[in-house]
Amino acid sequence: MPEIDIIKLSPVLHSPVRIGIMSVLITNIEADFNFLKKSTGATDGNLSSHLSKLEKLGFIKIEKSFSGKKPRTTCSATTKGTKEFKAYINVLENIIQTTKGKKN
Amino acid sequence: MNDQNAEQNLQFIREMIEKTKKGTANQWKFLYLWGLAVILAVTGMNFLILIKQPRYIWINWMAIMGIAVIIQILLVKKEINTCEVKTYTQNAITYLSFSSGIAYVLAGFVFPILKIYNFGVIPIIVSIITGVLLFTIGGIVNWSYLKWSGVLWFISSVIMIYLDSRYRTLVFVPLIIQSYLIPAYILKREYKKNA
Repeated sequence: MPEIDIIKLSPVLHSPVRIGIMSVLITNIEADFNFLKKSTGATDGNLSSHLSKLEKLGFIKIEKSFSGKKPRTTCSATTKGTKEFKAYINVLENIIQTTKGKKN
Repeated sequence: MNDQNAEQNLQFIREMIEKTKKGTANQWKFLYLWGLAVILAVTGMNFLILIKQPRYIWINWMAIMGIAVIIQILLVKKEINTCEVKTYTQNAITYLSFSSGIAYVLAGFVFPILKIYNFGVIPIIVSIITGVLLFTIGGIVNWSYLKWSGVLWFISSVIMIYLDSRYRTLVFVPLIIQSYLIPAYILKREYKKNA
C-alpha cells in the first residue's frame, strides 16, 4: 500500500458517524438533524459532537432556525468538506486498486 | 488501513447514499393536486360548452388554476418547513415544474389574450409542455413510466391537430389519469411503505 495514501486520509473522517454525515451531505443540498440522526443511527449527543467537530474544521455549515415554535438545525457540506470527502473516497478506491494489483 | 477496511468504508458510504435516495418519494401530493385541478377545469369547460355559455370558459380555467397555485404554494411552504432533507433531484424537479408553470401561463393565457394564436391551439401547446415536463422528470428520477407518459403527451399533441378544437381538452382526461393520478398513487404507496 503506498504510504502517501495513509497520510492523505483525513483523520477527521475515520469515525463511521462522520463518514455517514458526510455521505448524506455531499449527495444532498442540505439535511436536518433528525434526518442525520435516522441515517447514522447516532444518539442526539453523539451526533451533536460529531457535527460540531466537522463544523470547526470547516467541513460542514450548520444553520439554526425555527419551524413554527420548534427549533431546527440544518446542515450542509462546504466546498472544503466536499473536496476532502471526495479525496477520501479516491484514497479508499486507490487502496483497493493497489491491493488488487499486488494480488494479481 | 487495509483493503478490507477500505472496501467496508466504501460499502458503508454507498449504503448511506442509497438510504438518502429512498427518502425522496413524497412528491405525490403535487401530482394529485394538478391532476385533479385539470380534470375539474376540463369538466367545467365542457359543462359550459354544453349549457352554451362558452364565454365563461376562461373564468373557469383561471379560477381553478388560481386555487391550485395557492394550494401548491401552501404545500411547498409546508414542505420547506418540515422536509428533513433537500435533495438535488427535488431541486431540479422544483425548477423544472416552476418553469413549466410559467410556460403554461404564457401559452394558456397570455398569448391567446394577445391574439398570437386562437384558444383552440392551447391544448396542443399545453400537451407539448407537459410532454417535456414528464419526459424530463422521468429522466431525472430514472422512471420509464414517466418517460413514456411524456411520449404519450407528445403523440396526443399531434392527434389533437386532427380533432375539432372544442373536444381537444377531452383528451386530457385519460392522459391526466395515466400520467398524474396513477403515478401519484404509486408514489403515495411507496412513500407510506418507506415511512
